[in-house]
Amino acid sequence: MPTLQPETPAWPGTKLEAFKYTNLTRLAGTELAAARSTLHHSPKLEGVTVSSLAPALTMPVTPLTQRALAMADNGWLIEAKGEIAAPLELNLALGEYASTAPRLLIRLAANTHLTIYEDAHAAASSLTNQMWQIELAEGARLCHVRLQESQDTATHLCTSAVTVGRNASYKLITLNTGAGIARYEPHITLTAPGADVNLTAINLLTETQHGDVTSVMRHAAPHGTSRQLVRNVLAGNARGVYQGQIVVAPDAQKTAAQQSSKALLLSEFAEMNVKPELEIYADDVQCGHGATIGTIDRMALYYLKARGIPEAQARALLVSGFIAEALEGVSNDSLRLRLDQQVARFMERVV
Amino acid sequence: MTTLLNITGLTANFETKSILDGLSLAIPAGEVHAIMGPNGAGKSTLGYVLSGRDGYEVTAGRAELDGKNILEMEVEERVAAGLFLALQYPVEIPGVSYMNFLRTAYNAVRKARGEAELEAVPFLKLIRSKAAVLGITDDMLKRPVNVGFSGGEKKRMEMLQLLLLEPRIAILDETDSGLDIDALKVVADAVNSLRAPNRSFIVITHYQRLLDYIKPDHVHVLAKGRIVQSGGPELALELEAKGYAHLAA
Repeated sequence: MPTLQPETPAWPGTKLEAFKYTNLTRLAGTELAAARSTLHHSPKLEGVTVSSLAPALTMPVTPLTQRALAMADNGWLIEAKGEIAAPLELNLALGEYASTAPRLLIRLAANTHLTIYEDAHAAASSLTNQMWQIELAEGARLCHVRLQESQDTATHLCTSAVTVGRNASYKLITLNTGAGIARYEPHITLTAPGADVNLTAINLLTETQHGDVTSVMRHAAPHGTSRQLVRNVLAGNARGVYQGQIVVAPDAQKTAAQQSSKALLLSEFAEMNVKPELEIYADDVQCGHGATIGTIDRMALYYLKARGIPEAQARALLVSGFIAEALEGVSNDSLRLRLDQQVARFMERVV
Repeated sequence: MTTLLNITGLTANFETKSILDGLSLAIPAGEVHAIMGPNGAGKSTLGYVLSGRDGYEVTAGRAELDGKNILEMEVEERVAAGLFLALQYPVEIPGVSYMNFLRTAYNAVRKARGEAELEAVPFLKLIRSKAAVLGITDDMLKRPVNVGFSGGEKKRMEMLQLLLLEPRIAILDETDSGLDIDALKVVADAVNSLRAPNRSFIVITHYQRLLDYIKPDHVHVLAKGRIVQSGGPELALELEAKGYAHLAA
C-alpha cells in the first residue's frame, strides 16, 4: 500500500523557521495512498494549449517541494498566447482518501493577457501537495483568481514559483475558506525592470482550521513594484498565518514593495501569526509593511443595530466591509459573484 | 392627548457610575421636547439607555413606547418599534457603502415590521428622493459609511436615516454640534418635514440656536440624572441668558 519512496523527506515541523507557525509533523503516520490527479479545464480556448507535462519544473527547494518531487503524479503544461478574453478555468481533481502531488507549468508568451480561475477544491479526507510554475514573458499579464473551499478534512498545500518578466504583471487573488490545514506558498521573482505584482490573500477560517500564506517576493531587477494585501477573518479556534518575505537584490534600485496584513478575530480563541521579513540590499527603494490584529468594532456594531439591523446581519456587514478592499481587484463579474458566494457561505457558517 | 413615550423612574449606571437617577418624562404624540442641561448631566446617556447601547445598566424604571416597555427589547427591536437615535458622533464603517448600509437597515426594519422588503431599483429611487431634500449626492451614497465625511455631512446622513426609517419617536443627540448655520437649517428642515400628529421628537442640545429652527413644545432641564425643571420655549431663552449655575443647588 505505501507508495512513497523510503527516502521521502519527513513532514516539516516548527523547528524550521519557515514552518514556525505551521506544524505539519501531525500529518506523519496518516499517509494516504498516492493517486494520480486529473486536470479539468475549460474546453478549447483560442490561444491556449494544454498538454501533459514532460519536463521537470524549476521549483525552490523546500520541505514541501522535496516531498512533492518524491511522489509520482501527473503534470501539465499550459501555454497561452495572445489576448484571451474568457477566463481559463482550471480544476485539479483530487480523489477522496488519497494523496496527490500534481504539477503545472504555465507559460504566457510575450504580451499575452490571460485570466485563470482556479477552483482549488480538494476532496474530503485528501491531502494534496501541489507545485505550480508560472512564467510570464515580457509584457504578459496574468490575473490568477484562486478559490479554495475544500472540506475541513482535507489538507491543501501548494507551492508556486512565478517569474515575472519585463513590464509583465501578475495579479493573484486567493480566497481561502476551506481545508483543515492549508498552506499557500508563492515564491515570486520579478526578473526584469517594470515587473509588477499584486498579491491579495484572504483567509476566512473557523473551528479548528489552519490557513497559512507564506510568500517570498524577490525583487531581482530595478523598477519593480509589488503590493501584498492579506486579510484574515478568524472565528472559533481558527489560526491564520502570514509570513511575508521581501528580498530586494543589490541592483534592484527603485523597487517599491508594500505589505499590509490585517486580521479580524471573531472569537477570543482565534489566533493570528504574522511575520514580515524584509531583506533589502539596495539603497534607493521604497519598502513598507504594516500589520494589525483587531476585533469587531463594538461602536460600529451598535451603530448598525441602532439602525434596525439584527446582530448577525450587522456582524456580517462589518466582516464584508473588512475584506471589501481585498475583493475590489476582481473585475470579472462572474468571478466576483463566485467570490461573493464563497464569502457568504463562510458568513453563514460563523454568524 | 395620548402619551407616546412614557419614562418613569429611570435609573441607570454606566460601568459603575450612576448617571440617571429616577428620571421621569412623558412625551405626548406629535410634540417636540427639548432637553438641555450642563455637561455630564446625563443627556447623551438618556439617548443611549433608551436605544439600548451596551455598557449601560438599567437598575430601575420603565420606558414605554406605545405602552410597550422598550427597555426589555434588543437594540434593533426598539428601532422596529419606532425609536430612532441620531448620534452626536456618527460612526465610520470602512468598506461598507452608504447605499448598502441604508438598504440593509431599511429592509431589516421593514421585515421586522412585517412589511415587504424593497429591491435595489425601487430603493434607489426612494433614497434619491429623500437624499435630494438634504442635498446629499449619489457620490456620497457610494462612499463608505461616514469615512472622510465632514461633521456637517455626517449629520445630514443621520437625518437621511431619520427620513428613511420614519420612527415614532426620534431623539437627536446634539445634532447641532459642529454645524454651521446653513447645515443647521438643512437639519431643521428635515426634522420639521417629519413633524406629524403621531410622531414626537426629543431634541438634546446645549444651545438655544437650534430651537430657533425646530420650535419645541416643551423644554426640560436635565441635571444630576433627572428632570429638574420644565417649561415652555421661553425656558430655553432663560437658560441661554442665565446658564445652569443657578440650578446647581
